[in-house]
Amino acid sequence: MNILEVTKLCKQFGGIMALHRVTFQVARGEIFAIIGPNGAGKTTLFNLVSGALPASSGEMRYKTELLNGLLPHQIAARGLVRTFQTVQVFGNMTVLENVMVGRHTKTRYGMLDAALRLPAARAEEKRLRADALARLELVGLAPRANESAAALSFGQQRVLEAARALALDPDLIMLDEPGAGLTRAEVEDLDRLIQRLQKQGITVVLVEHNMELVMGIADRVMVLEYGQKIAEGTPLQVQHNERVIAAYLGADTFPIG
Amino acid sequence: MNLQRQPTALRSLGVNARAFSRDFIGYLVLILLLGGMGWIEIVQPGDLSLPKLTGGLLTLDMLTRVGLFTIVLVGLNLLMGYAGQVSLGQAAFYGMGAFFSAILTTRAAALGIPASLSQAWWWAWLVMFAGMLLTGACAYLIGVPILRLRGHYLAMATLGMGVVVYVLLKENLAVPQLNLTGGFDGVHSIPRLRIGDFVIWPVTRYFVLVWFFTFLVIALGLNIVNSRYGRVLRAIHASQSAAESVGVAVHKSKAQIFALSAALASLAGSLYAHFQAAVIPATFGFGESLELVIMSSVGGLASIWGAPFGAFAVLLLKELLRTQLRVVFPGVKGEFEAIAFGVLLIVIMISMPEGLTTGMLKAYRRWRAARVLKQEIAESLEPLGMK
Ligand SMILES: Nc1ncnc2c1ncn2[C@@H]1O[C@H](COP(=O)(O)OP(=O)(O)OP(=O)(O)O)[C@@H](O)[C@H]1O
Ligand SMILES: [Mg+2]
Repeated sequence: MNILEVTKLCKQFGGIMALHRVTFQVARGEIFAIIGPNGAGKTTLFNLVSGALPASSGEMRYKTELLNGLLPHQIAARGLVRTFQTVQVFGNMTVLENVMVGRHTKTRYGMLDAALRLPAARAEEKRLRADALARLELVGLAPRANESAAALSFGQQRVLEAARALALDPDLIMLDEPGAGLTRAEVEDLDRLIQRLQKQGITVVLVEHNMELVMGIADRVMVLEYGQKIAEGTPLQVQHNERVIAAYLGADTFPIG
Repeated sequence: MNLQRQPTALRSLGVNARAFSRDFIGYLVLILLLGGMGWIEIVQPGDLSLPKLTGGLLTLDMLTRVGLFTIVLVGLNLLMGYAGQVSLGQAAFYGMGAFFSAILTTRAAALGIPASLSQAWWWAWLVMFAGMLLTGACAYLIGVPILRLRGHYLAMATLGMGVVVYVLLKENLAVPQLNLTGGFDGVHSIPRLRIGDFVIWPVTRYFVLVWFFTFLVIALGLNIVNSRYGRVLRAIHASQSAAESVGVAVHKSKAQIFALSAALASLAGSLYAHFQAAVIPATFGFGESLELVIMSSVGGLASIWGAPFGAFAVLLLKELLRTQLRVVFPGVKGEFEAIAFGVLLIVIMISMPEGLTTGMLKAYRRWRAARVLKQEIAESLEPLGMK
């Protein structure tokens, strides 16, 4: 069964067609990678699906529900979350608090409960802390829970952003170049994390330039070029696709193996 | 793994303890200061009084004002310091509360409110509470469209809102026949607050009342800052798109905090009306909004404790300039006060850009860190006999 269905999606920025009639489906539970040269429209695709930008035309469905016209926070609340290519952690908060914000929608207590610190608020805060800490444990950031998020290394901030998104208990997570700027060891951790998410039943849509990572873990790969889909299939199929090889000719990131 | 877990748990305790002790110190300093000054003024031991001790600089009147401003500033700090949303029109809400109380306690008969209600002791309190709700609701409605703007645009929009409210107050809400706001002259003969037959006046009593409310508001503010709402405010400040991406209804949250800050300003306005017994529109113009922003920045925007200290510092500074400038420089005119005030502000903001509270806290930490370092160096040199 498909968790995400995108049909003939277009996005125009002035004269630029950033996305042109892109159609694809993501099956529940799979790791779906999107690759393509710089400026191919990968981030734009995330921006449309997550509601950050309106689509020019086309349709996006999540669990059969139409996403077009929904606001970002509404989409997130439905269990579809994304991370950002340019890291956006909350630098004015601790690592733990960042994850707690990620779990905001799972908390209920009202402004009055908060202002008066009523038992309802206190109980929920306690649970929230524990839940957030568990997410940090999952990504290995628990020892740094009380440090300022701004003090983390670039790679760790990426990981924190993923933990923050995971705090929502999403069914689908879209990661925009999670491997960029990570050390080799960190990329291996990332690889393991993504596989663990899959085991937990979370669907992963991955935009990534690190081909070793992509070809190692993706179930299926879609290739974009100049806003258009030029190929789709298993990593092996994609690597041997003529158009894909042509698109990457000259680029030293691809192909591998 | 276990080794890793333990320090985490300890550290999480540590942070809580730090936040707690910081707030504890804040309360303590404030209570000691106010309690001490209030005690001197009320008991007047050995014929001493606050004005005598301070050369007329500190009076209960002034300290009451500090309390009133603090109430407004807690709201403004939540809005500007935590959520990062500028308001250059906060005096409008302050004025709305003041005039709401003033009108409904002096013109009740003209408005067709039966005397059995308007003469009851609790009427003024009810009006104060209703004013908060009404002002908050107004702010929410205004906030939904204008808080979509960012940066300078939001500043301009709130400034415009402030001007509109000011003009409405000055022009009798555009219905001169009713003469509700009293136009340029405002409303006077506002009754004192009462609890039963106990009148909360003279100023010694009012000082206690205002600071009771002020402490309440500080406590509420601190609680909100440390709750899911406080975190959302900071998240919006750091990155609106990231906040949205994890399900935060950003626009709603901004409107909510705008409404809360307006309700607090309204509370302070009502208390001000019963304090002065007279209100005029001129008090609630752009100048006042600007002064609030100045107090907020001087105290430290992103801190609830910045509110009382910012209000105190600015009022004290103005009073000092008003009384002392002429002593030091005989013959200077009133405008020099404004110039000196401006220059001093610039000096403060350059030396402590995060405001007095955060600035002093940081200075203290630096000083302590330097001392620890010195000691460590000394200790490490000792075994080498190089002391
Ligand atoms: N907000 C925007 N306004 C105008 N043009 C945009 C905007 N966002 C993206 N574009 C343009 O759309 C095209 C696709 O950009 P996009 O960021 O989606 O590429 P990408 O595949 O993510 O590239 P990269 O690998 O470098 O991240 C580019 O030509 C870019 O300049
Ligand atoms: Mg991109």
